[in-house]
Amino acid sequence: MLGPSVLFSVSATLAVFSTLMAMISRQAIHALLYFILSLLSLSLILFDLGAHFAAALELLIYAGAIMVLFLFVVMLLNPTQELPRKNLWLPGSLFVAFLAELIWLMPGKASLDAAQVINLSEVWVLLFKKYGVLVELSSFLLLAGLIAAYRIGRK
Amino acid sequence: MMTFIIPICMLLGPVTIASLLVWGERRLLALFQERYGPNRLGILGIGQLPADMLKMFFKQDWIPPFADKFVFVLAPAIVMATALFSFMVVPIAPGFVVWDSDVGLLLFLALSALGAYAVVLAGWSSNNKYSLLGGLRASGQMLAYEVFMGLSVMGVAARAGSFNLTRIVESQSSCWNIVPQLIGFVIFYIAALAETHRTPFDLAEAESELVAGFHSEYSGLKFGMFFVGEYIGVTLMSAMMAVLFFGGWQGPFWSGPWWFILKTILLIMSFVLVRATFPRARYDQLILLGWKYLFPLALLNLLITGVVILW
Repeated sequence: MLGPSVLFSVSATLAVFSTLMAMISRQAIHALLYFILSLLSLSLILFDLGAHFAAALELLIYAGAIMVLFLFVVMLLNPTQELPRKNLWLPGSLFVAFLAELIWLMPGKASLDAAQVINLSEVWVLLFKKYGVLVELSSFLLLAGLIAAYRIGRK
Repeated sequence: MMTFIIPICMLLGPVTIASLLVWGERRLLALFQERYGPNRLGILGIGQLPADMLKMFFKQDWIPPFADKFVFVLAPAIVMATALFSFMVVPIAPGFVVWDSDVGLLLFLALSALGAYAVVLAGWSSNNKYSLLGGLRASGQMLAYEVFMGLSVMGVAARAGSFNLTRIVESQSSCWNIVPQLIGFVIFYIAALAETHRTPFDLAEAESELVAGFHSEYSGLKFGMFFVGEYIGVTLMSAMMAVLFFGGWQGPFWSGPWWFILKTILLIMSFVLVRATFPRARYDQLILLGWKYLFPLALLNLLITGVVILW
């Protein structure tokens, strides 16, 4: 058994740290920046596990498109004052509990070293053959969202 | 040995071309407008380039006290980093590529999407209303044009059956993609202009209304990074167009990297020609053109390409 790679360790640590900072940051834009950093490190983790396609899509769609939209909205509202310091006892203790669970579970699941690159055509076959109905249904869900947004925008 | 040479070439090449463009664009613009341009210093005025660089080095690198310091310093670094990272997947010659990735095209699109952060964050962190307006405009514009920039190259990817850029170049051995994918090329070209915020679409830094837009507060070397970063973006887009639509290293005879370089330089010159020719668009026109005309056209192009392939 090989341990997790250096890239995985670094990006996983970064992901945990940046997600934590995204939750406790007192300025909206800084929280968003930490969230983007956490998405980037997630993409690195996926890349390290051999899922190059998923990693590229994570970068393209989440970090590249959706978060720019978030940033756009936050900038449009431009909250100037910092958020009040929150009571962090409950989220903090939950976070510590989950982290402890993760660390406790880690040695048992040591299949992280199987970093074989996943072929793109395999992903496509799975998406459009085996899970084809599911993909179509989720696209219907998105369509519903689009129509709702259009209706609200018309008013 | 090659594992070191290729990345160094791919880092230094674009930076060299981009910094030569600082002088080259002014000369070309002058040529197109029947002026001389900077022609005093050195042969053809090329000494203008080190002079400009020295000036920029010695200027005061001022961070405004009202700015968000960390983000302010981060923003220019993002421009350079994302643009230079993208060159990782650009194949110059068979085998001469840093990472011959199966998701190369997606990676390029993702990194150019991440480039939007630089402008947006620069605009926000300057804490200046002109900068903020520039940043807002840039984010709206880049978000819109990213969408069908991706869609316009999907036809190319479908014809090659891969996102691997080397495979895409090889698929054009009989006929360059510009012929069957002409609509895709036109849409990609317009999106590339908007993505690098070059003149018809440089609303984010429109000096007649927004001082200097998102980089109003930047000075010295940080401004220089935005300045050179824009040229690296232009070089990148030209290189990608050469790869995706003009057959990369393939030419009618003596196929090799020189063809790729020639095509890239001609495309960069076309960017300058567009800047010299067209006046700036209005912002609502820009967004309208994007969502109402180019987006459906890109979808239609993809649909027709799919029908032709499966026929």
